Amino acid sequence: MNVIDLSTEISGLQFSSPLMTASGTAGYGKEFLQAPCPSLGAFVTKGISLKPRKGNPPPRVCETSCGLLNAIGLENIGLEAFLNEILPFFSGENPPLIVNIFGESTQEIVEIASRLSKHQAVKALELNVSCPNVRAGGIAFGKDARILSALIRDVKSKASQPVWVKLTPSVNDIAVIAKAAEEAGADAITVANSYTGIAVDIEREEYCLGNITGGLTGPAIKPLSQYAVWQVVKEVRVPVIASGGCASARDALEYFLLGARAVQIGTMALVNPSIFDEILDGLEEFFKRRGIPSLNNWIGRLK
Amino acid sequence: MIRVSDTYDPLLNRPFSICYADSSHNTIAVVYQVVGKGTLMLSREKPGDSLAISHPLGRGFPVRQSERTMPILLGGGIGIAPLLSIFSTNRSFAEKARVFWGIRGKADFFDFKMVDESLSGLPLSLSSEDGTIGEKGTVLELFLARVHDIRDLNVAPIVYACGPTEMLRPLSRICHDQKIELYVSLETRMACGTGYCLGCSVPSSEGKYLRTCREGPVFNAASLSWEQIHECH
Repeated sequence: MNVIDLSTEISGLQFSSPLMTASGTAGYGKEFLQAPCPSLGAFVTKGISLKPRKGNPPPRVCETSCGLLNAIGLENIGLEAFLNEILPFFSGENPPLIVNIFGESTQEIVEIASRLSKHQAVKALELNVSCPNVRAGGIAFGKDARILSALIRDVKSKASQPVWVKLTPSVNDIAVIAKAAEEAGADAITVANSYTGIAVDIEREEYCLGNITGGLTGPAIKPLSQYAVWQVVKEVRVPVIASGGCASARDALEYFLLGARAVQIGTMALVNPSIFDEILDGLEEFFKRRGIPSLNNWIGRLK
Repeated sequence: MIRVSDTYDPLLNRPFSICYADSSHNTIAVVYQVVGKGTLMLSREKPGDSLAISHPLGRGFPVRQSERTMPILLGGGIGIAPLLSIFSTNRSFAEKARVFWGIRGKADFFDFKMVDESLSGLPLSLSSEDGTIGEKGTVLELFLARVHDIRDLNVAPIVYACGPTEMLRPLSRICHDQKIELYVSLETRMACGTGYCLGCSVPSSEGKYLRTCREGPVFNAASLSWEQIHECH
């Protein structure tokens, strides 16, 4: 066996690799893809809102045991600048572009979706209804199945591309939310986002983050995210994209075994820029050793 | 950024400034103080050990070629380390420098020639808060006592500073009032070091955020909003 097939299909799109950037950890792509990254199946942008956002006051990051607590606050350049400055960069040479979008109102999100739907370079939209770090926008939509369903229907009616929905794990039952998203028309579900947390400084008697609360990511959350993936794959038939603390080929293999069709890597790519190459090599090596011809033969084998 | 461990705890790479670079020997020197878990692990490395490093990142101190320019290095504690880098980026410019260094006490002192032989014998004005070495007082007091003499030399001083925010904030006011150009090297909590995570942002005087890792760590002091900049803990 010479070539292992590591491609994966999600919402009618074929990806040469099952590895993606996690939104917010690799910018908009223009800088990140200066050096070609063939091991990347898709590039998922930082969340884009209709208008630029300034973000939260510092300190915005705090290291915790095996994890990173962040409260960036969805700082981004806004849709207009994204369309003018970033989109022209994405051509055939680059990995498929997935644009992560969010907003404070249904109207705002629908407008972003409808304007992006005109652009062929945008292969799918990832709807962020799960950022824990801003009061209005995002997570409010992701915690209520009814509100989320209505939002997804509205976005789907305007979007020409597949719509992926990135869920928050900070809910009572993520399977219920995922099922509602699927029924409303979500083409894939990203499981999950960061977990809300706090870090405290006893010397200064102060919170470590300017925003007080932040989202926990990194290896610390992997078992929690795997639990969320496990719950969701049992409930929905649309593809599940895993996101949460993936740091190695082994971690990715675990997620695939649970039934995820792709894995997003965020925090660990901040630490190790060559992680995508290393994980893809690791997957190939593992499948060769085990005599498994393709990733598809491995996905969801753990019932 | 230096990877201090192969495990997930500590998770992040650590940002350090380059103190000295020797292109003929392909070496860099980093001077650091053990303050936490990461620096403690780093201090346990032995000669000959290898470390994953991504460098150089961000922007360093700008160099002025004008004859009249006099660089003034103003370091608080371990903040002296990045300032010395101008001796390896532009030696002839740096030769004209006056060096002011303030430390808490004798225990914080190190001889610059430990970094590189060529750094011995610099014109150093030293102060310590407890008076155990150099003049008793802060580096700002030391600088203020000399600034008029420097003015009298009919030179254009340009100050390069690094140290705690409680030193940099009043310094920015002093330099603003005296119309002296000031560049500061900032320290912030940092995750990626490459501009993607937006974790190390500091407030600018224009009401925006600037990334310490990309637009900095060296900033023109006038471009920052000092009342909103806090100590890095």
